[in-house]
Amino acid sequence: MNIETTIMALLVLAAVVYLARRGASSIKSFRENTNCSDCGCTKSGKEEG
Amino acid sequence: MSTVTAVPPVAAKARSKPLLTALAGVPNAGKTTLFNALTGLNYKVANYPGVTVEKRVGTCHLAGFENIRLVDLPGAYSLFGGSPDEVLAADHLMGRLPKEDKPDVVICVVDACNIERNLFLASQIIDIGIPVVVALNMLDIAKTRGLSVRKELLAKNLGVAVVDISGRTKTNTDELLRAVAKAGSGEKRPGRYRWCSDKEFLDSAKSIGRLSRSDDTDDPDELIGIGIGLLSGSRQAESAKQRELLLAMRKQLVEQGVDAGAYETEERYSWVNSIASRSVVQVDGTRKDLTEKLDRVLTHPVWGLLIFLMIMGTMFQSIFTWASIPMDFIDSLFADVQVGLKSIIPPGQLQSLIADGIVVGVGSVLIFIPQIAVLYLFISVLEETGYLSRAAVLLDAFMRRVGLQGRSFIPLLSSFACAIPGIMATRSIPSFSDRMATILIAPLMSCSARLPVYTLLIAAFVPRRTVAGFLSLQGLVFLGLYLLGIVGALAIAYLLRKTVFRSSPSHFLMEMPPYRIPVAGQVLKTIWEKCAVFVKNAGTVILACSILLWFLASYPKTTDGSPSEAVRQSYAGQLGQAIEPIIEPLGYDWKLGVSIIASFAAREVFVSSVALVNNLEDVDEESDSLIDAIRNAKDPETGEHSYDLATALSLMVFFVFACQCMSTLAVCKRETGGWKWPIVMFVYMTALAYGAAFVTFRLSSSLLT
Ligand SMILES: Nc1nc2c(ncn2[C@@H]2O[C@H](COP(=O)(O)OP(=O)(O)O)[C@@H](O)[C@H]2O)c(=O)[nH]1
Ligand SMILES: [Mg+2]
Repeated sequence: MNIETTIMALLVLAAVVYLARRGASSIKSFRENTNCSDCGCTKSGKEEG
Repeated sequence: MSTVTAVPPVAAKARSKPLLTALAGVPNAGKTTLFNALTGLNYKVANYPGVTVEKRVGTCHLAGFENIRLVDLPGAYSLFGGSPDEVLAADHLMGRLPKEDKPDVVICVVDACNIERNLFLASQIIDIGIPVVVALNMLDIAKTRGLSVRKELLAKNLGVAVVDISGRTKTNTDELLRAVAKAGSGEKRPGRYRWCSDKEFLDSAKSIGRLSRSDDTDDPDELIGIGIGLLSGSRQAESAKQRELLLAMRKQLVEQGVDAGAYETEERYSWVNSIASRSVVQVDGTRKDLTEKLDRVLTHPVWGLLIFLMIMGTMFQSIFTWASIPMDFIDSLFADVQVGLKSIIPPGQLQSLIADGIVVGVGSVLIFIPQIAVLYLFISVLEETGYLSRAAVLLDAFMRRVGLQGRSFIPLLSSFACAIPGIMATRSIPSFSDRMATILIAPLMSCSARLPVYTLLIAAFVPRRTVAGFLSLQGLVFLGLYLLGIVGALAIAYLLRKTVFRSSPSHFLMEMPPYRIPVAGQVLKTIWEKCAVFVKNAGTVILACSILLWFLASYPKTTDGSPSEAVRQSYAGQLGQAIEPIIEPLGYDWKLGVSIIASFAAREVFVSSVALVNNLEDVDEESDSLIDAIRNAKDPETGEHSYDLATALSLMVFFVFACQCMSTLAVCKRETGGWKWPIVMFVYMTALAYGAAFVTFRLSSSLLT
């Protein structure tokens, strides 16, 4: 496998991991009855829209 | 049990533990503005009541007062009110919430222009027995109305510290915090029950209160409080003896010609009114009539409606006309970046990932920043001036006709930004069926995430033409989409009212906040924040989705065939073609199908996805701007344009009605306490979206050709 493919594969992997973790954390924050983490409206108790 | 218990001084306790300070007051008194000023946090402030429906906590960020922990409460007119947000505020103040401490100090925010109603609540809070500091707010407005406020007189009569502040300009916040720290040190407790001049009454209340065993207190003031609660009916008697005494006391009061149940409220009102009239006095000619004159026009059934439509029309027109120049600029910038990168990075997978995946995916969303900025410019100006409450009054009649009440207006209005705060704002609606009906239609309001989808499709497919001389067709279509969502919502509300939630809409009186000139800083801050969130989203979710989509649309690699054939055979292509039969009746090809699926991650991803997939298809062609790329997308077999106006209209209608937001469903589950209503919401919205898109496509393809 050449370097180019490796970088590409890593980036794709990072994207998948990021999306999965984000999904998991928004499910978690709903469980804990805090606010949503998706639309940025109430993110980390800082803003509301 | 007369053991000697050493009571630790409050000051010592305060040093080890933060000083818990609650911000209380009637709705729209400026609590959240003050909270933001003191904590450096940034919660939503708007010139209408009912914005804060949950309590929020933050630590004071001003030097020397880091020990003060602030709680912003929802507004309440009385501690014995009925709506869920009022109950929450009262419960917090009285320490009735499980696992939560009673506040050590209460800052009672008082709107100087509405002094009676504000002091009524303040005097109820003083009676709880927690140290109170009154923060006199809105003095700038009081001044323009020719009102003079006598702070010292107020402080003397209420028996608590009074500090004049402005949360808006952050004046005098230091003095306020010093007063809070002093009150929290327990040097001086406010005198309770000052409204009651009848010592005998207080004594009998105390002796009745003493018979309640459940509170286990010897504090005379607490006992009086219990007695008054019993008398006014907010508490139940605990023993036969107590009931007997209570009856005797009621009888005695009736003999004096006093209604026992209302005694407290009436006495309190007359006391508050006498203080109010002495401490806030009109010193020169009133400017109040200007507000009245404006209101008469703005809430007029004909003129008011006309003005409302004009304001809305201007807003949508401007989003297109003002934003088009910066938008074109950003668009061509990204096209240049794409070309530039292609000349730097050697051709191959990496080049394709960066230039065709990331730049196209992220760039196609970022070009909408100017539109977002213009939209929020209008929204924040309208919110701050106080116009929106007039619009609520104006629309109340319509909403009533479909069985919704004015209280639903603010949740629905918030839903134009995002359905989640909208659904949470329904907590200020006391009636269950009113609340449910509002929750179910809130996601039909076009939220800001739909904006890029609308603008992209309009920019690409609706001709830049003017109608009737000055109106841009694009702006009109845009306005139409928003109106379509509103009309759809009202129709659904009507249906719900006729079927599931049958009850007559409850009474509602919208309080009219005064007109205020918006502060440029506040408006710019809102715009800046909204744009920042948008950019952050583009840099995170949309970036990740673009990378993933690029991968799915580029693999498995086929060795032969044209680029478009390769995309067709990719994972994304296979997925798209699998669902093609379902979406074909709506006029969509498989690429749009894939993009609709992708948009479940975030609606804006739809735009990235359409741009990305079409870009991969014709990598050979010279790269135009992103919008042109979509407009010129061709069907590789027939060579005709893939998308026309009918497709675009059908897509836009689909996005108006479709429920594509996981967070909305999740918040609906949380607020309704089960999966039933979120499922209902998803099913009805999807069916509505499909049906409406189908009709739109059929109608417009036969009409437009
Ligand atoms: N003129 C003026 N307006 C203020 C002041 N404090 C707050 N406001 C405005 O009053 C409105 C209501 O404020 P908000 O903090 O949301 O009130 P809350 O409902 O008590 O939380 C907003 O439009 C604020 O910008 C002030 O000192 N002067
Ligand atoms: Mg508030």
